[in-house]
Amino acid sequence: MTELEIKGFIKVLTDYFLSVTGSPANMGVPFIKENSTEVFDYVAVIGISGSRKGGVYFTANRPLLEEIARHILGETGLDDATLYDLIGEMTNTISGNMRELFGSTFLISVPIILKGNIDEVVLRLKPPVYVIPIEWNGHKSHLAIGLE
Amino acid sequence: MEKSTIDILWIIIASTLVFIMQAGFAMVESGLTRSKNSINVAIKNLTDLGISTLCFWACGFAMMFGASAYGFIGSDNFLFHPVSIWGAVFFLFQVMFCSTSATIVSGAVAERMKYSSYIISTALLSVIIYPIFGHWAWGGFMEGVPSGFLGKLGFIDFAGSTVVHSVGGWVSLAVLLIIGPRSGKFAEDGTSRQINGSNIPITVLGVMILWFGWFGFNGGSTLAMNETVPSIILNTTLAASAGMIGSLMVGWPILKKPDILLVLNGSLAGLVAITASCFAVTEIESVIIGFVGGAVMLAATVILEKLKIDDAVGAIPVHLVAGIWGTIAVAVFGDPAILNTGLGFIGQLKIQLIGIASCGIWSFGVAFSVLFIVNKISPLRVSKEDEHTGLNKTEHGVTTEIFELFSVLEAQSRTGDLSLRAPEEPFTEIGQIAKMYNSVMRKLESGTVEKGEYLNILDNVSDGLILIDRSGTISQYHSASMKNLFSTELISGKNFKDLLSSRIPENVLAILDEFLEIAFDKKKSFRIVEKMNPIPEIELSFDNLNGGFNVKYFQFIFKRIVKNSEVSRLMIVIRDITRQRELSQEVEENRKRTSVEMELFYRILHVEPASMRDFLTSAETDLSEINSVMSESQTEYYERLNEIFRRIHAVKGDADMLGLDFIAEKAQIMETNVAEALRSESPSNEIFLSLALKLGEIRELLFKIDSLMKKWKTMHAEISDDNRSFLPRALSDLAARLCERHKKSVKVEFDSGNTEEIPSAVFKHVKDILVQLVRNSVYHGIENPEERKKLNKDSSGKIAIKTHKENGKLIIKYKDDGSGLDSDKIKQTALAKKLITEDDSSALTEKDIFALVFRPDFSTSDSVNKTAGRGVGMNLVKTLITGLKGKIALRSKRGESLEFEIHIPIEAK
Amino acid sequence: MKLLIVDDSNIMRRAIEKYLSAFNLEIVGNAGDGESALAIFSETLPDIVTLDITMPRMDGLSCLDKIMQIKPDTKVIVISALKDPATGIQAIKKGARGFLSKPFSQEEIIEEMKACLEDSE
Repeated sequence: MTELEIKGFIKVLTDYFLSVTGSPANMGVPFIKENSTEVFDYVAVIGISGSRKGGVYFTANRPLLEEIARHILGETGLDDATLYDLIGEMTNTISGNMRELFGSTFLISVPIILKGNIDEVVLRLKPPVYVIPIEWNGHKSHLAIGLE
Repeated sequence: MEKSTIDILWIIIASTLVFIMQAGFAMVESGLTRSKNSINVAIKNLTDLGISTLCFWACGFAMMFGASAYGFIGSDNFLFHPVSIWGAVFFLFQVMFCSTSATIVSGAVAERMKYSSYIISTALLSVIIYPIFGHWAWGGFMEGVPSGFLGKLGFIDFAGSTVVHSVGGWVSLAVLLIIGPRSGKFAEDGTSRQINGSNIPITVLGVMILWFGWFGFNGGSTLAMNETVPSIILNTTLAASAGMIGSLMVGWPILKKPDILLVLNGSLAGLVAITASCFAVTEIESVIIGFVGGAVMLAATVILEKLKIDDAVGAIPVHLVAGIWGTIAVAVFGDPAILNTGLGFIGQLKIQLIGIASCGIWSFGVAFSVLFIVNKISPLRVSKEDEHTGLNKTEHGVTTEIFELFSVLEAQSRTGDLSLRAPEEPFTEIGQIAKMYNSVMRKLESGTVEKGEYLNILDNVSDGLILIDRSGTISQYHSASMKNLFSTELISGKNFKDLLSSRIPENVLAILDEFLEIAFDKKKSFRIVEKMNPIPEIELSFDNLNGGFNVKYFQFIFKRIVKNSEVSRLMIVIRDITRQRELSQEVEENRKRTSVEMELFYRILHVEPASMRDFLTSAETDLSEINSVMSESQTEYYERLNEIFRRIHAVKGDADMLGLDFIAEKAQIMETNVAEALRSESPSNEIFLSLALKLGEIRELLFKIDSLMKKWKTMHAEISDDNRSFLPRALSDLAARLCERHKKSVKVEFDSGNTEEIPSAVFKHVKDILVQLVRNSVYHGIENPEERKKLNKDSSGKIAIKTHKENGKLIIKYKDDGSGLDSDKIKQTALAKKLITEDDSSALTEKDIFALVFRPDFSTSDSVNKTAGRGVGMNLVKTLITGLKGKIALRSKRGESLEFEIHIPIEAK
Repeated sequence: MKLLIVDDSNIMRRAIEKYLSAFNLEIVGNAGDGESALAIFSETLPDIVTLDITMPRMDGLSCLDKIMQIKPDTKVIVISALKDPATGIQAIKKGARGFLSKPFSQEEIIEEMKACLEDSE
């Protein structure tokens, strides 16, 4: 796990925010995931294989997703299913971009979306798992990376 | 009536000519029927000759030509014996006529009538039908004076248009009405189908023979070699020709083709028609009679078809219908002077019609009624299956080569059994065809069998086996295991690269592409191409659609398939070697881990264990703090950095002091980073990235050291059983293990200060006693966490152990905060185990009851397990203490605690 | 049969020469870089060339291209330290008849040379 790789993942995510919404996302201070580190309402997990193994997850709260949905659809008051759809679409795009960036040596899985208990999936991330807070328009989200 | 030698000679010759007609009939009928029945038809022809001859000799001749009884039936000369030369010659000539009449039937009923039934019908015709009607028309002819009633009335049927041919025709009609058409002749919608003969040339030859034989048939009917004979033969041959032309001239325009039957049966119809009148008509009249005969034959053929009466060779149109016409023609064209009946045209016509009618009534009536009854008893017809197979085979068990060949072809097309072979008769045309066919089949079969075997292998081989073409497309046949290897049903037709894409890195896919290109290039030696296989062993990541991958290792072997010096395909063998790889990887990882551990071990070896533990604890605290400072977003940026700096500096200092330079180095990097960030005017959060990475690395290291030390400690404890300093830890570990097993939680506090004070002489026993007490507490005393919560206790239980020396004694105080002893339960158990009696129990004090737990074979545990229940635990404690001359006292607070106080005497210093 | 040995390492050149002594080949020269190799090649037109891939002044693959332009039926055995099959595939595409990856043993180079001489096309 190198700094360069982590930066790559962060770049994919922040670029996504910038290109979809026009406003930049800021990286917070990264830290190591402890058992007590909590996740937000929605979690999208992407498996990584190939030259490195493990996974990454992105987790965000409802308001952040709602606002992104507003940017994309121009609608408000979206239901749960639509937000699931959105975070799925987001992570699909992000994983697609990751593939572009690391594709020649990494394999990137189809993302899955979880709500609530994610212990089982997070187990797949190889410790230490680095959590990078991403702040966008005042909303918090986490990108967590755990690769061999 | 005396005859000259030349008459006798002519009639003998005529007889042989009529005999030859039998051969003609055999050829016509067998040639017009299908090859599967041709032998049956031919053999029926020969059979009816024999049967009719015997029947006619035994009684037919007598009934026909014997002394007439009322003009109805002949009555002498049974089992004919000639009394004169003429008699013998006359018999010979007549028996041939009878056989001719009989043999007509075989053609009409061909391809469906049983051989045995045919014998019955032949006998019926030869014994009853033919002779009796023959008597009516021809009775007394041997003597030259008519004695039959028709003959007496002036009925003229010179050579038997009615007597011979119509009789045969009527019997045929009767049989046909009983047995019905051949299967397949008439479809359900009423249309008829032409059933083609097997050998038309032979039929043609048969017709010629009949024509030729007819010269004797008609020419001999003069019963003398006189001046009329040549004219009769001339008329006969003219009529035959005219019949042929007549049927052709009428039939050709209607059928739009010169159908062969027009020619064949036209000639015969002409011959039949002229038979009755050939001696009394002119040449022109003969031509007309023949011509009309051909035409009526054709008309009759059409009508029969309409009536769905299936006459296989046209016997009824030829013999019955043309025969009727011929009989009428006698009245129409016959020269009255020659006829010499003394009747006028009408009178003659009338008597001719009477003859025809009586023939029909008699012949058809007898044949139909007798055979109808016979058919009820035993069917005249063969079974449908036999008819399908053919009468040659089913009736006589004989086959023809062509039939055999067709049977094989038919069976093959029905069963698909390619191993069937046609019989190869040498030196025959069919045999040669069969031989060629067989050799084709052999080639086909061997090819097909090879393919079958190959497919069988593909179904069973565990390796993946595929063939790909230049475009990478996987061909139709591949091993069944491919589906398991790639967890997909879609293999054939898919591109090989698509099977791998998204499962192996793209850079490898790109190289694979180039590899396949040179693998298909025949100019590149495969010896070196093979070396470039980019995926000899490759890791494949299968997306499990659950946010992760299942990783497998496959081996790929490529082989060129060369056809016509072109690389047509690549064969790829794919083997799942995940298991082997995992095993070797495990070994490798173990080796790596061991070497890392060894290195770490060397590095920490010089550090005093207690200091090491202190360092681990404090460093872990510092690092956790740093992490939480990093994750706390509220804290001010600089404040945060300062905090991190302080903590990391402390870690670095400690690591330095202990000589753990490999940790100190990493801490140094972190420190430098933080210092830089502190100095920076507009610091970015990216600085924290490397910080976090280093933090992770140090924590991993500390974690490894910690686990290594624990491992080492356990190992050490196991080796030196009586290393006193490890006692607290050992008890604590024991309690932890027991708790895990029993889902409880207990903390052991060994508050002795210095276990070294325990004299080595008693240490082993003290340890054993404490082990038993801890076991007892965890199993019996400490409640499980839920229960404890209900009781308002700490969810984790507590065992407190204190030791000290006093007055030459080692005093051990042991206390757990479990449920204490349950005196009622102890009492009941003791009662149940008969350790005490009912009387005792009421008398016992609580103290006495508690003492029971130290007795052998006492345990309140419900079941036996590793921790408790064998009744040796507390008893063992008692035994050990007794052995040490010590004392034990217990104090129990129900629901609160259980305490033991043990006094062991030791030498005072 | 004439042989040209191309390798930037002097020791390797000598080793190859020694290893292949059994083949009774006339060694027309040896070169330490692509350019001088090409110069010797065009002058002597050897039948066989052992060609290192990583060399200063024109690498092995470019050198191979040139050799093939001059004399397409030359049997070139490419010797590479790169484990990546991509290089080998490139070499084969350009017309190499043999391939060896470094390090190799005497047996391996003899076998490769034998196979290369037997491959008659």
